[in-house]
Amino acid sequence: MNSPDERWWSVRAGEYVLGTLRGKDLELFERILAHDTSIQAEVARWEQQLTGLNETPREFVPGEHVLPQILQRVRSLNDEGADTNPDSAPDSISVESKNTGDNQSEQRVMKPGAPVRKFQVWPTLAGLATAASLVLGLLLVQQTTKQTTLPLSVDGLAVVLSDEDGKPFFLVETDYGNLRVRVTALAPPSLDESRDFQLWQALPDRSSVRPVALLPEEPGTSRTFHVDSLIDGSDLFGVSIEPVGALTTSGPTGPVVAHGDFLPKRNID
Amino acid sequence: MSNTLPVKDGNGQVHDQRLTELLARCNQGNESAFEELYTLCSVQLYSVLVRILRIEAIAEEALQDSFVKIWQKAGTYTPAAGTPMAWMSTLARNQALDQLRRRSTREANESADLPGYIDSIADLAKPMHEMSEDARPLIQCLEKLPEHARNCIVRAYCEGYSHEELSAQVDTPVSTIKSWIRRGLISLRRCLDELS
Repeated sequence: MNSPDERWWSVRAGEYVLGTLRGKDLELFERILAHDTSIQAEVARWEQQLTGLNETPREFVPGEHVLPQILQRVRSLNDEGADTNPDSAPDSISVESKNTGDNQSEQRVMKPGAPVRKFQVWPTLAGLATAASLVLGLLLVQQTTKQTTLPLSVDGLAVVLSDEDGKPFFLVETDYGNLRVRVTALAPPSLDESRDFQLWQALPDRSSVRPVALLPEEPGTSRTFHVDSLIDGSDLFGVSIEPVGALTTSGPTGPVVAHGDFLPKRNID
Repeated sequence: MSNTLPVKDGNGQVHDQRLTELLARCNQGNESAFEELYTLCSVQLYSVLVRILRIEAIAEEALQDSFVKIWQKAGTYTPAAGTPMAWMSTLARNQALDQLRRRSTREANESADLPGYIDSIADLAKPMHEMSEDARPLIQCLEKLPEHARNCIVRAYCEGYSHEELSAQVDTPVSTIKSWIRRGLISLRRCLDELS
């Protein structure tokens, strides 16, 4: 744990094990934890190091009725042929609540006749991406950089958040030198088959937007795109829902569901 | 129940090897092994749960959920996840924390300390000389932390307190509590790395 990022993640993992992460912080952490083995390892390390505090000075004895009730539950699980397979997540890492609230997002996105948001509203929404989200994103950059076959000289990133409740939908990494963008789906809502997510980038004066790419939908997957241009100095990305299959170039025709501040990577290091 | 190994050592600690063996047999569907596991571990796990949840009836529910989970996940235990007891304690603790989070706030009768139980940090963990060998580095490192940071970390872990609850307890802003905990964790990690 030497770099600021590593320390930050170690602390975050420690807070998770302590149980002090709550609400959106907890939800965001668990989403990334579910996919990231290095963070899983860090959580496991804290769990092992703090477990000495489970040696309590005073012992309590459960009632005699508890064991029969447990055995009854275990037997009924077996009798029902219920799925007794353990979760694929590591045993000691609690990730059960990681998808809490997704259905709400899904309903919102698929709702017919949802109002079309204009990009002019973005500036008022900008600034919602927290430093924590950006650092979370940076770690993910490091993870995805390890996995990709296309080397990407990442010089900027944005965590694209839901514009209503701040949930992280996508991570955008830019490589200005090589005109490339890599987008990783973090936890976007489900889309109708006839729709795609499309990434847009605002012009520096926010007067207009340029299309960038259609986005992956499955959490944890990344795509790298070559783009004709990247706008130096632009600091805002947004995602809209568009008809499936082809890049919409004239401007968003569907609802803008997420946006994110761009941050040059050098400002984080 | 078959005892191929002594069940407890001189300090009353349950032998890891015995628990590992029982978990493996649970994974094969052996109910008597599960009962033995319960006999050996339920008091320690229940004590952890009572310390967090405060109300014994709620802690008993959480204990049930924990042992059902142990039965379901027994096959996934590996020594890489720590000792069997640490692994089971983590499962139980997570069960308690999930319960607390679902309820978001503690009931009034949960806020009070258990009578004669948790009056000070010393009541939250065993004295050093009673601690297992594995736990001693942690206690040594905790003792090096500033008292306010140590109190917050220990109370959050042992009693499941949120930032807000700690803030109310010590009449200090939440942002300060967060800062104490974060700095404390950085120091703790550094110390534990040095000792290891």
